[in-house]
Amino acid sequence: MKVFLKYRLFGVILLATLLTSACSGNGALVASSWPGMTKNLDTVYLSYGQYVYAINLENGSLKWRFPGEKPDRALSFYAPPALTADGDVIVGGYDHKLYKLNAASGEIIWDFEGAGDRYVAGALVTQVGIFAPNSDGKLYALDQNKAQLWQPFGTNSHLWATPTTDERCECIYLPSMDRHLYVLEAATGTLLWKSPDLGGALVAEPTYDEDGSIYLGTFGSEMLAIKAENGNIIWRKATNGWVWSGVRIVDGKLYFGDLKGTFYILDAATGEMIKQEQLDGAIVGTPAYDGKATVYLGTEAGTLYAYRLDGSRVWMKSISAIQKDNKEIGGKLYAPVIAEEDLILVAPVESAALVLALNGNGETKWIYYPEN
Amino acid sequence: MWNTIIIEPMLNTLLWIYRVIGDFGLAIILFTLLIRLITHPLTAQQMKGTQKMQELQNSEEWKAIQKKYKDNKEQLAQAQMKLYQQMGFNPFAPCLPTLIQFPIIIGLYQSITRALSTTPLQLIDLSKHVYPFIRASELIPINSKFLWMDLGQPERLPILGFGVPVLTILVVITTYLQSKLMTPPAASPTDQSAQMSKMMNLYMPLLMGWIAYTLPSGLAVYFVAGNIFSIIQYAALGKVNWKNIIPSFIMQKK
Repeated sequence: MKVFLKYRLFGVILLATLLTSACSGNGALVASSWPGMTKNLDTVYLSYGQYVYAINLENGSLKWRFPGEKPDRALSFYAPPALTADGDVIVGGYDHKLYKLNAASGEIIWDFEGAGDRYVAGALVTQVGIFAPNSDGKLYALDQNKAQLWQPFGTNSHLWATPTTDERCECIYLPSMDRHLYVLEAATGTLLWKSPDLGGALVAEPTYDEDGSIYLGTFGSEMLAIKAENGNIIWRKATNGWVWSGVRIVDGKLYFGDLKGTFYILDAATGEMIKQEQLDGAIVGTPAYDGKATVYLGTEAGTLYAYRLDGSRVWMKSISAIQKDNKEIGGKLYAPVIAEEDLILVAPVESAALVLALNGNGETKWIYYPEN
Repeated sequence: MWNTIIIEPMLNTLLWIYRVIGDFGLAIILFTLLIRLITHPLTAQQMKGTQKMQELQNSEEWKAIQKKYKDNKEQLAQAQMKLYQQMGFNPFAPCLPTLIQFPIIIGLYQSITRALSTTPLQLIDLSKHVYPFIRASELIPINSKFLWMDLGQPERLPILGFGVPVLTILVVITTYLQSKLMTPPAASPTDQSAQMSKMMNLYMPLLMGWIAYTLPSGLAVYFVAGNIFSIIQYAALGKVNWKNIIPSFIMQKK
C-alpha cells in the first residue's frame, strides 16, 4: 500500500510538471500566436508552430518544411515570412533568431543571432535591406548577407507589428508597444520623427497611403490618420475595442476591424464613419482586397466574410464548420486573409487544417492538413 | 463561469493595484498578501480542524480501535466512524476550507499569467476580461521589469558569466521551510500519513522549483511571497512547528 502511494504521489508530481511545462509560453507545445502567411506566384509560405511550410499554390501540396528533420522543441515560428527580391524567405523564430531560407529547398542560407527576444512581427524587406522588429524592443537592420546596416534602433517596449515603408522618403514607419510611432531613415537608422503618445500600445501594422497619410489603429481604441511627413495627427476616430487589425485602403475608404468584433468602413480623408457592423468575433487580421470588387476578413469565431466596397455583404462562410471525416475542422481566424482575383487563402488556428484556399464564391479549392 | 466568478475579479484587482503603485512585482506581492488576508478565516478553520483530527488520532480510544481491528479494515472503518460521531467531529471538515481555497490559488496563478500576457493570444484573451473602469489600454503592456528580473521571462541573475536562477533557489528554500514548519508532529512517525508528509516535504520544493525555473518569474515572485506569508500566518496562529527545522539540541538549550 505504501509503495502504491509513493508511486501515485510521484505520478501526480510528474503529471503536474508536464502540464506546467506544456504551457510555458515558449510556443513549443501550445500555440501562442497565429500563423504568419505570405505568398508569391506559385507558393504559400506559412510559419506556424514548429515549422515554416512552403505549400504549392496550385494544389495545396507540401513543397518543403523547415526544419526538415525532427523539430527542436524550443523552436517555433509565428512571425509572417517575408520574401526577398530573389525569392528567398526571411522569417524570425521564438528562438530569437532570424532565418534566411532558400525558397526552393527550405535550407538555411544564414541565421542572425543578434536579437534578445522572440520575433513576433514579420520583417520588412526593401531595396535598402531587411528590417526585423523584435520583442526586445529593437529594430534590426541587415543587408542580404546579414551584416548589420546600422546599430539596432531601440524603443521602450516590445515590437510586435511589422513596420511599413514609404518609397518616396525611403523611411521606415515603426510602431511600438510603447505607444509611439517612430520614423527612421532606412539607409542610416536616423530618427526622423517620433509621434506623441498615441494613447495605447501599437500592434497593428501601419498603412501608408499615397496621399501622404499613415493609418494606424491603437489599443487606445482609436483609428488615427497621421501626416507621414511630420507626424501631425490629421484625425482620430474612436472604435468600440482595441485595434489589432491593419487597414486596407480601397478607393479612399479604410476597411478594418477591432477586438470587439466591429467591422468599420471610414472615409480616409476625414475619418467619417461610412459603415459599422458587429460581426461574430474579434477581428485581428487586416482585411484583404481581391483587386476587383470584394474585401474579405476573418473573425475569431472562424467565419470568413466577403463585402462589396460599399459595405454590403456578399457572403459569409464558417471555415470552422468545414468537415473532414465527418468532423468539423474547427478553427479561429486571426491571421490576415490573402486575396487575389479568384483566390482566397486563410490560415486558421486550433484547426485540423493549416491552410485553406477558396474561390471568390467561398467554395473550397484545396485544404492543406499538416503532416505529422 | 470560472472566468466571471474567479478570474476576472482577481485579474482586475491585480491590474488595479498595478495602476495604483506602478510596479508589477510589488503588485504581485501585495495581491498575494490581499488574497491571504481574505482567505485567512478559511486557513484558521482548516488548522482548527486539523488540530482536532490530530488530537483524536492521539487519543487512547483511537489507538485502542487501531489495535483491536488491525486485521479487519471494514470493522476498523466502522469503529472510526462511530468514534467521529461520538466526538461530534466531521472527518471531512478540515478538507472543506482547502477545497474552497484551491480555486482561489489557481485563480491567483492564472491572473498573474494573464496580466503578463507575453504572447499575442494571451493579449487577445486579456482584452476580453478587463473591466472598462480599469482602463487597461493605459497599462498594456505591463512593465514587467522588477529588480533584476523580467517578470514575463524565467529568471536568471548573471553572476560571473553564469545565469544563476536565484529566484528558483528562493522558491525551493521557502517551499521546503513552509512544508517543514507547517507539518504537525506525527502521532506515529512510521504510519502512512507521516510517510506521505515526508515525501511531500521533499518533492513539493523540487516541483515548485522546476515550475519557477521554467515559467515566467512573475509566478516565482508569487510563490516566494505566498510561502513567506503562509509561514507568517501560521506563526501568528501559533501553529508553526519549529522543531522540524531547528536541531533538537538547540531546542533543548532553550
